[in-house]
Amino acid sequence: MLAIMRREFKAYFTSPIGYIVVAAIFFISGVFFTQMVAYGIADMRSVFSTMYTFIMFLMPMLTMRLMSEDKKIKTDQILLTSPVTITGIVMGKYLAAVLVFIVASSSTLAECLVLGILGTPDWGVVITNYVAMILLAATFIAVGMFISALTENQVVAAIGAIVANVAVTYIDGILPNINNEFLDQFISDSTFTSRYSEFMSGMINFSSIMFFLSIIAVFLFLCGRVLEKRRWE
Amino acid sequence: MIEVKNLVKQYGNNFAVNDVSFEVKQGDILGFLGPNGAGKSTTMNIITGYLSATSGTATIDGIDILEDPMAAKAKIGYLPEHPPLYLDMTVKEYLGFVYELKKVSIPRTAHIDEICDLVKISDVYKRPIRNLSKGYKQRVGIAQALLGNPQVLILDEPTVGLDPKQIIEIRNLIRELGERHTVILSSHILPEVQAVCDRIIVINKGKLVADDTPDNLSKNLSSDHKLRVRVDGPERDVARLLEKIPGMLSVSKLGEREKGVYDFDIEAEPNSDLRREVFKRLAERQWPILGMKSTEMTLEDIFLQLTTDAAADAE
Repeated sequence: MLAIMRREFKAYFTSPIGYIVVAAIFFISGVFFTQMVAYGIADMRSVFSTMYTFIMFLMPMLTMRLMSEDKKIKTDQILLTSPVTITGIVMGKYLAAVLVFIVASSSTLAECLVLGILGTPDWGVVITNYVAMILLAATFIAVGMFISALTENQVVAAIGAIVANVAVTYIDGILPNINNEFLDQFISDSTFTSRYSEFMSGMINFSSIMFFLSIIAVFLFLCGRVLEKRRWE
Repeated sequence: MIEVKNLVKQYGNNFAVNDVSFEVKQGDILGFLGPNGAGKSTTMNIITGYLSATSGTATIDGIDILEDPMAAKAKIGYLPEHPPLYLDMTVKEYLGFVYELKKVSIPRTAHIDEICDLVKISDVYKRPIRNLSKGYKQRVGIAQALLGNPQVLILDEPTVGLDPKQIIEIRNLIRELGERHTVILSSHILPEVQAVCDRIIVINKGKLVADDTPDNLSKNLSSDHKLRVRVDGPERDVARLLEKIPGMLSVSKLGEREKGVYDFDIEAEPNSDLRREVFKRLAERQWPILGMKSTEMTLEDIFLQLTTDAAADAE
């Protein structure tokens, strides 16, 4: 598993993708951070809440080739015929992508430093915001990786993941048209945005953490099943 | 060492592999021969655990690939039809990755160096795989299979796409490897398996059609019922005389070789030997035989015969 993780992590930085994601997150958060400083508020919340949209579009860039490329260039043959379990393969690849995101988001620590010098932010809120951002990205990565496993075309994988991310984000838009109480409750409980904004206000809600973690677990499991199923086709 | 029993792989109504069984003893080099699409790669993919069989079992050193895949896979080095190379890595990075992936316990640097020397890739060791020629990529693929000194090597068309010089080098390499490993080698090129293998399995349309040593294969399928004779005598009369021999099926005239000397191809009923009879009759007429040999089939003929027979049976 560690060998696969190391390889995938390195691969992100032998191609431009790793650098693009790091640069994009640094640049975008920088823009909103500067804006925030201009308004004279020592509150990173506005930065983190706008990051949601960008993470939603950037994570599919990280996951699009993660599984699909192996199938296309047949490197899955070396993975699946080596003494590694399917769980090991999936986890290795998954952790590599999450690690890239953590590296990328650590660039925003510079902004926290500036904030600490200029004002007195509520560090508790800053930390919960980081937790939320990483959880959110980790969830999008799991979903994107599963979609990448379904195809050997990177573009299809990327578009599929973006559509899925947009769907789970904006699904609550249909709520006013729903009359069924159960469905209403189910949808409003399972939208990513409401969970994410809970964290934004500095609240760590155990059920929200479990919410994201269980989605991650489900999609990683499904991803492994896709690999397994291919052997039986 | 390797035991395959009643292997079946079905895709819908198509049988890619249909009830194939064979065994490979330790230290043998087995040639896996068949036309393209015969089921060679599928069988190899099942033995290595990449695909699952619809039914039947494959065991490596007594370990079933389905029951204990980790232990079985650790005993196999596999070169698939397309070498599974990450093009963005250098040879060094790639072999290092596979070394870790396979959890090899032999000291790293010495082991990788030794393999690089063996397959002659030391001079491209630091280059990105993307920039290597086809021949070098193939060798990196073989190097990858050798990592960890697995007891079993499975090589799917290892010489495809190489130039004649490289083919000879790889063949010699495989022969060398056969001294320390059990090898299965697939090919659709006959001289290749003939040159390298101790035993040949011919597979066609998913079915096993022959399993023997290269020599036995040619012996069993050719016999003395097909002869080529060179006779010093009048062509038409000699032919007429030969045709009268009981059991003779056909006589074809091949023309004049020297002045007054003619060649004939004769075919008798299978399992009959007409050499003595031919000699006697020609001697009676005082037409000297200048040469007679059985037209032994080459592996090429055998291969064609086996694969077309099987096709005819299927219809």
